[in-house]
Amino acid sequence: MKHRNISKGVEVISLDTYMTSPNLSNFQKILNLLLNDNLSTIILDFENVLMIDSATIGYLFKIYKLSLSKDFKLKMISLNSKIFQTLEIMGLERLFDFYDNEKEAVDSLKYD
Amino acid sequence: MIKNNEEKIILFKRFIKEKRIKYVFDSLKFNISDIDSFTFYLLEEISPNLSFDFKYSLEIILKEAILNAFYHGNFNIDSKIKENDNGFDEFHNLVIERQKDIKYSSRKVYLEIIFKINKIIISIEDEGDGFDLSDLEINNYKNYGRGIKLIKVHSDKIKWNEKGNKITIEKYIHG
Repeated sequence: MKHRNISKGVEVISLDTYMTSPNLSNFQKILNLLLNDNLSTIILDFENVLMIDSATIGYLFKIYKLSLSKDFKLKMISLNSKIFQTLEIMGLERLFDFYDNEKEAVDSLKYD
Repeated sequence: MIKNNEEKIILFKRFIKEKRIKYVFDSLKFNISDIDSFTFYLLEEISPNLSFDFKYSLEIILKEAILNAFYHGNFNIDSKIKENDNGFDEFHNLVIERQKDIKYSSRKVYLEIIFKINKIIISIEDEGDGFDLSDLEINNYKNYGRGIKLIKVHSDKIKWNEKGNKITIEKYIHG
């Protein structure tokens, strides 16, 4: 799992192929590292993700709650249909903003 | 009349009513970081010819049910811990702590997979205290409690024994 800064306060986290329980600790570490006063947006890049488990879905919900309490925007990009379906079944698709790619997510910031 | 090998295999397969595979897992050696490769290789071993979608569902079912058996069954850890600020770390620290306690680490998880012509039946039993099915709370807006829902979505039938320490999941093979 990697993260990169693409502009002031905007961070992209590229998620792993298996977003399952073993990766959560690393995910949490990266997120804690990014949570500072300058953070305005986190873009979660699902391009490589093939599988997501219940623990990770729980963690995504936790990040959503953090985005409200710490006041940053949360955007999700490049989800395949299986991952999107899983989030939909879990009732989380209404909470997140989804985009086809990074450019669309970045462009949307102009209108937020 | 002597048959060729292919015909013998077909006849042999017709003769089999069902195939059963059993595994016993050790709580002491359970390592969360191995669960992805473990389920992947388990599926390669038991069902190399199934479709991608079917294997994907089996992988999710096995992963969620095996982790539930260890975490909530054998280690007796409540997912509500995950609601805390550092809940995920607390949860995993407790797993490591319980593995050092022989009361928990001596417990086993039993997996049985039954292959029938039209379905696969997966049973997973732990040696924990079991749970009250009426306590099964599925709330989409908490940090935990979605594993059972995921299993339900990817399977056709699901049931528990009375004690609540054994789950049996059926998945039909269509077409």
